[in-house]
Amino acid sequence: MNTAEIPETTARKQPSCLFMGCLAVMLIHATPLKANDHHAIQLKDVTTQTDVDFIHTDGSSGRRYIVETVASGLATFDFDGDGLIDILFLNGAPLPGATPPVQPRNALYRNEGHWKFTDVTTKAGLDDSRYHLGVCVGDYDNDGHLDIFLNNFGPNILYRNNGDSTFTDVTHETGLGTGQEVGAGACFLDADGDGDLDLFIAQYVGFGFDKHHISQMNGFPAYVGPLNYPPTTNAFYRNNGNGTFTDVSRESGIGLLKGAGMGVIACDLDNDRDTDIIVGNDLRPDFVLRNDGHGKFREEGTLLGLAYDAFGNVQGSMGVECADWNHDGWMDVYITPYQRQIPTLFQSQKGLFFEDVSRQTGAGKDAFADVKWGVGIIDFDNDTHRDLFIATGHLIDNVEQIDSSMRYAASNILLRNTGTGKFVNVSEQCGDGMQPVKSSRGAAFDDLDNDGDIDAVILNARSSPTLIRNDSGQGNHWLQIQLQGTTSNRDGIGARVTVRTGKLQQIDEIHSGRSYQSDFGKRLHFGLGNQTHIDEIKVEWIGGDVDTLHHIQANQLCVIKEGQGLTQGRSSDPKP
Amino acid sequence: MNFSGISNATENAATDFHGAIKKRMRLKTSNARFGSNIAIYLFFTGLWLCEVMCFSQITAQPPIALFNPETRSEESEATQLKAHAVAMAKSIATEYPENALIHILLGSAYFNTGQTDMAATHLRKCLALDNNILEAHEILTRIAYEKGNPEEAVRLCVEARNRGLSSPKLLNRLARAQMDLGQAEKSIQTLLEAIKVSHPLAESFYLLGQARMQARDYLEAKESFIQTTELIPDHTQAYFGLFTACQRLGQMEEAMEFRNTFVRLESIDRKDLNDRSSQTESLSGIAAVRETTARTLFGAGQIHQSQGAYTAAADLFYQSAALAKEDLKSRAALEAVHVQNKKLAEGATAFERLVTNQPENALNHFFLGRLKTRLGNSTQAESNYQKTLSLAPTWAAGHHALAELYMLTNQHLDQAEKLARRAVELEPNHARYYLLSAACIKNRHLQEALKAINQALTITPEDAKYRKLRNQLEKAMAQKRNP
Repeated sequence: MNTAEIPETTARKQPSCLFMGCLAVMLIHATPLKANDHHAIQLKDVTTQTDVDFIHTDGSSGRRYIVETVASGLATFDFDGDGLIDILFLNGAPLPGATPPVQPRNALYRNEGHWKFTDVTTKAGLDDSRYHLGVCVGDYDNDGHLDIFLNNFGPNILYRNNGDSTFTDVTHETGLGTGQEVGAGACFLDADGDGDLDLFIAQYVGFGFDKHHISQMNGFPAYVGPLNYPPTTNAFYRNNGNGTFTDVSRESGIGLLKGAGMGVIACDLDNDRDTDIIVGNDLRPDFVLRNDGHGKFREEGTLLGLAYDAFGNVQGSMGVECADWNHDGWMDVYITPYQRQIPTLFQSQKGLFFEDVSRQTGAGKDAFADVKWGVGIIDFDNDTHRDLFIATGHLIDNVEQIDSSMRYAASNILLRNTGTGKFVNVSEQCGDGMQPVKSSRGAAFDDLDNDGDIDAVILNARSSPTLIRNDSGQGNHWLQIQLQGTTSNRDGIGARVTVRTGKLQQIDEIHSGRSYQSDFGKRLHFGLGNQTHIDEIKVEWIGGDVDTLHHIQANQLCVIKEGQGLTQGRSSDPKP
Repeated sequence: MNFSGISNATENAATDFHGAIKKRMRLKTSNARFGSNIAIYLFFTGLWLCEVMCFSQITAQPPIALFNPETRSEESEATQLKAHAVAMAKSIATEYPENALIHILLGSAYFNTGQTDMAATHLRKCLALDNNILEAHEILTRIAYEKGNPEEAVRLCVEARNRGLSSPKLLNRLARAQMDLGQAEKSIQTLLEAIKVSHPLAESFYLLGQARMQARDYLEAKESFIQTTELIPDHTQAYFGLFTACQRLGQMEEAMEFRNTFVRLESIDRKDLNDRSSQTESLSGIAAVRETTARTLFGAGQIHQSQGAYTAAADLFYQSAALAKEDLKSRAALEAVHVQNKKLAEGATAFERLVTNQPENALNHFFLGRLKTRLGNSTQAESNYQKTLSLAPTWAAGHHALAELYMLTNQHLDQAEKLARRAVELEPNHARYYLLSAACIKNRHLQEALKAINQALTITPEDAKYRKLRNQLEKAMAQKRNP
């Protein structure tokens, strides 16, 4: 109750009511938001109204090939440059023994606005029917259009965006053709600061149909796990700047390591302005590939405390994300693992090492039992604090028969950042967007309706996806930033953006390839709380250039061009 | 083979078939409920079974085939073993429906086959019948924890403690759940309690280190991890803890040494894991399945025994021993049940079968030797004990048993003394010293005998038998000096 609204005569006549009102106001604002506060984040399942009719297949036939369990990721990006974020769903393909009625393929949906999407896959030239696992998006040829790399089971694909809403398969002419590996996550990054995007490709395990076998659990057939197949090396390709790539896996140091790669992300972990790579390995120590600034990497996962959880145990790592969750200017890392493992929030200690703070912060709350995949560290309610979205679902489709305490399909989990160093589970209070019970895999987060808050798209194994509209409202302010490199890569991938509002500094980076084998977030999003303008935006480009802008209005998309500043967006008057 | 887990009680019984059992068990005349209580005691402490429980004469039945010999893959064996354990527990439940132990047996069997909801139902029934059964609390706590409900796990642990039930395992689980809830200080208090028990688990020290890391008390954490490695020198995760603690303390050189040790141990663990093709999500790791099935069968045997069903009990103890090759409890129970029912020949036959199937198992030879001794077949017993020694040369009980046999038969007395001395070297407890003293007396080495009995009395000063022997020795020696 705002005391200023109380008529003066009323206030004089009823001082006790005024006092109680003030007391109530004080008590309300003194009480931190609890898990049952349904006003904070509201997410709505709008799948049925979107015309998205994609159904994922893992190509299974009952033979239980391990590759079935790890499909697939998705990407949200503006493929046609119309200002609306589109969606690319990856699909599996029939494996030996499977005879589907319709040949499955990937699906590209163009965003028509107002939550309507049109399937333009065939028109775009993306209706390939190979077995697709991971995706990353980046403008590898710096022509202003986002290209797509698909990391498959079998030969990978690089699609060049022709700029006319179509794509061309340029895999072989670019030198990226590979064999029969089981792919996983992938990411574009400018590892050597030469202005073009290099490519890191994670591989899962050394599976082949000739090596296939299954196991039995409690009398029921079950998939074997990654330890039943040999670990594999990842690959690293240097962009030659002329539309081709060279395999420099060994020279870079990356090809010397063997793991079971799943989710990956490239980011600056040590604030030295080059891009490092984190690889989540399934039941093997996670990798931190530290960049020396020239495209040579050294593995330092154990040294930095990121390879294992707090107890020194390997995790079945699936999704990998990073963000500065506590606003200390250093990127933290969040990894989603297998069942009966707590998702791990690794808090950076000024880049010297990382500390597992999952238990102290509640960042793994209620997420222990399920298998966890796609992940987002997103400020859903624009209150400046980044929340955690975890996509869940088992990989053993008959797991309930094997162990009645486990479940194949599960609801996803939303942990809200209270701003006090803790997360609380608000999954059941934030609307029907968190209600679908499916076996989820990839997750992507972008502002699909350009209303200033971040929505979500979830790819569900063997099922239709879930599209979630963010209806949080709350009146909090926001800012979105899109970058245009000139000497740096065109989309500013790897650039570090710092947004300062009053005493608060928030950082983020543009990534290509993240979470679980997925891609999203080419526009950075910052929740600003009650701040209506931004004091300073600093962009540190890969390569060394820095652009600084001051006094920018909130609640808009700003486009910042390297060396030129704000090319789209409004400044504000400086605060007195 | 490592028999270091043998309790003193077991060792006593190995040397004194009657006295030790009577002393430990405080026997009373049997009744079904007391038998049930004793079974509870034994079930959880693994001590010798009651010697004076009465059993009716029951015709011997052939043992149930454990698994189809045609399906030899480990997964198939695991599946069949688990099904057998559940079937066994169910059949006992049909026979004795209101016995709390039945429900814990069923609960364990269901839990081991992944039927967690059924397990929880039976465990709760068990506690409804008798809420002082620690193992029921332990398993329910584990179920809650693995379901991702640490709050419930904490509640169950606290409930058990409020009833006066506690074990290092339960305390460790409580501490782990508290840590998962970010309650580092509470976890530390819990673990400080866990390490105060007489034989603390290395895991308690390790978890204490972790709790202290969570509380950011890195110096104390380091100390706890060091204590862990003193108990288990190759505790991989403790070295990880030491690495991170030293890193936080800025002790970088030490941190790197610990890190290198951790990496080395971790790669050994990983190689072992790969070699066994086992996975963290697998529920059919065959060694674990055999052990848990053996435990279920052992528990079922104890229930039969408490109800007077000797033959069924013997059969189940046999099956348990056949599965768990290094398990002393099941073999001890198998011996005891035959002894108590005066079925020595049948007991010997059972162990002969075990020896045939597991010829390199020292425990089987050992217990066969004991039964042969009881049957008066000292030649065969000697052969069995010698085989025991050849298979397990550092196991004190083997030396002890053979020494005792020689003394009983008045043969090879010099050898008996050597064996008794070796037993003392390997495991210097009061029973060993007592036997050594007796062997020295047989060889007229009175001074040595006195020394040995004094050692025994140093350990257990109140033992009347030892005091009596000492008095006799002193008297004899005095008479010798002054005839």
